[in-house]
Amino acid sequence: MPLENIAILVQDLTKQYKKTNSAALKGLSFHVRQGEIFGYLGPNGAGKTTTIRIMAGLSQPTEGLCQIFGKNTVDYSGLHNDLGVVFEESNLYERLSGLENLRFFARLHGVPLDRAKDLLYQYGLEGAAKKPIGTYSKGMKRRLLICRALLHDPRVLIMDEPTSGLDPTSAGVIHNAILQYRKQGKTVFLSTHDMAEADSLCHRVAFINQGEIAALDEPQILKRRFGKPALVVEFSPDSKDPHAAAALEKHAADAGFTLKQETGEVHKIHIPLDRQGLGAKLDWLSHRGQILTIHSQEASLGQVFQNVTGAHLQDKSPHIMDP
Amino acid sequence: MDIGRIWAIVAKDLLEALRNKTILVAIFLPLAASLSLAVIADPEKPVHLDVGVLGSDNYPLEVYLATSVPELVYVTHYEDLELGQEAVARGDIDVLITKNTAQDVNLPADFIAFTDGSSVGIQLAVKEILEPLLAAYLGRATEPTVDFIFINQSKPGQALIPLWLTITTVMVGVMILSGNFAEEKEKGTLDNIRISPAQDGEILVSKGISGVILIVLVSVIMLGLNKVTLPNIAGYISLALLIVMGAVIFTAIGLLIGIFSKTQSAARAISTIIYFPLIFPALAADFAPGAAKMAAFLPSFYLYRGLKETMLFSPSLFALKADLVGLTVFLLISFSGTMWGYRKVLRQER
Repeated sequence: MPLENIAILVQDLTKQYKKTNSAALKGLSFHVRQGEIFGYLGPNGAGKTTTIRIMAGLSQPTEGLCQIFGKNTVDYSGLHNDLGVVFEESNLYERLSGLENLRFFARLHGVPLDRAKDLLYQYGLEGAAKKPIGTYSKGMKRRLLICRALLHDPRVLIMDEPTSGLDPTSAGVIHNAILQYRKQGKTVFLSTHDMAEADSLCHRVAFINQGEIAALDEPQILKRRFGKPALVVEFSPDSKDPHAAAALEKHAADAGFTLKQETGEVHKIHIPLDRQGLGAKLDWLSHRGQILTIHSQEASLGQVFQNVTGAHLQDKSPHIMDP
Repeated sequence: MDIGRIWAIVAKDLLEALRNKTILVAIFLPLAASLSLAVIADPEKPVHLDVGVLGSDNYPLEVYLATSVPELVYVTHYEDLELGQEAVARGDIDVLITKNTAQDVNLPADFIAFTDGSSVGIQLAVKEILEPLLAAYLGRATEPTVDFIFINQSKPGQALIPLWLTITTVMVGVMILSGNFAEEKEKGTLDNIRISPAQDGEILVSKGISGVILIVLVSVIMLGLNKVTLPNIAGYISLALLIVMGAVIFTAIGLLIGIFSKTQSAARAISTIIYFPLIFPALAADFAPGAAKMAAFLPSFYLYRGLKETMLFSPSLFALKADLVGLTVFLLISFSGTMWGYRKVLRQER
């Protein structure tokens, strides 16, 4: 990959906190391509926010380097022009209105106020522009945070848990904003612990756990490499056979089924798609009751993460459009 | 340093301050108190009287006053009316007295007393201590009539303004600004400014300017509402200089507390603990020698004393040199301390 196509370069990044004598980052290395939506996934305390603070120039690495468009973030004076950051917390001035918040940052960046008004309109906040932030909903605050980050039209947008705690509709608005931004050829660094969000939005994802990159690739490749696809079968045991349910339970353990009792007599059975004995397993079921439905289920990023790190993460079903 | 960015932060801070109920209460309480308590007597009633007696014609009176209660009345002779009046204006003597020889219809009193119009305490002391002595001097059972002529044209309540100005300056600087800065850190809004083109130095300077403007604004409102007037330009210059220096010092102290506090509540707790020892020795210095010794190590002492001297006697800047030098020393210490603290915290955070 030619260096000029790299938006963010992180090399051997280490962050050691003197007070706690703990390492938040342990030699991270990865790069983000220009025009890419890069997912940065990990549980709370994995080191996501520390990485972002170093990228934003708010913190300095103990060792290693972090570059934005080839410039070290520690001493890059133009960093604030290239970077827009949406922090995890709603760090807005609550006593000021949405417009006043944006006006303040527009003045700092030397951007005309019309740009702020355009963004408020674009993100459906023009009606609330003159209301104090204290009256905004969480979703409105997040949209305003995005407006603020985009105010100076940065080349890279860094987002730390942008949809955390939002309802699906509000999250959808944020996802659309990310996709729109990416369509302009800009780069998005998306830190999240929502696997479904990362799966549907990101070109590549990196799993970070305890300050280290556990895996990094395209979501589909990771799922193929580390995931376990399965068949999900809804099955009703033969009601005339009093031992059918017990036999199913016994056979599930032997055959590697994952058995879940559904309402009534219907069981939901997960059969790993390991290409060995699948036909025999279905045949066994069909002789002991009625197969109601069969559908395939591909591995999720959550499963991949679990398989790679042994840790659990939030894994919602996808509700958003593909990138 | 970019003036546009600095002004953007100052304007934002002032707008926020005007919408912050805690700040408004902290500002309006002393303002309201300064207005309502202006009618109450000056608490600094002197324990003895410095009396000037005018002219050689009043020599018997001078001897009588000097010898009858020497522990209560200290007597100085003035031959010239103008010099005596200037002594009253400067605060060298509490009252200049002369027997009324004219005794015409317009001025029928037995004595004429020139005294400081800004101090109710002195007027009370004149009435309590001097009038019985004058009655005895005249050999009367009833008190004589004394016509008071006030040298300082300002209102009696003006004597309390230095107290309120000092309290307000320390309160807004230490208690309010410390909390505001810590709030920016706690809520993460400071991070947003730090990832903007604003430099760290610009941010600190802006915060300092906002604090100074806020304190000066409140002081001007207080002076205006109390209709404070001074007899000469030098007095106004001294007053402005003292207010600005006090504002800078206590803004710097407030910022220093805010810089080292992780949360708004921590900043408020620290500033509350600091506030009382910072202000009370200075205010108590007049009547408690122990407090006076302690107060010499506090900027509030020099601010209060300077304001008091300026508002009561309007001295020249040179006459205030001890207070101005004291404030300058504290200004340098607090300013350097804040810069050092800011750099240290930024280094730690990075």
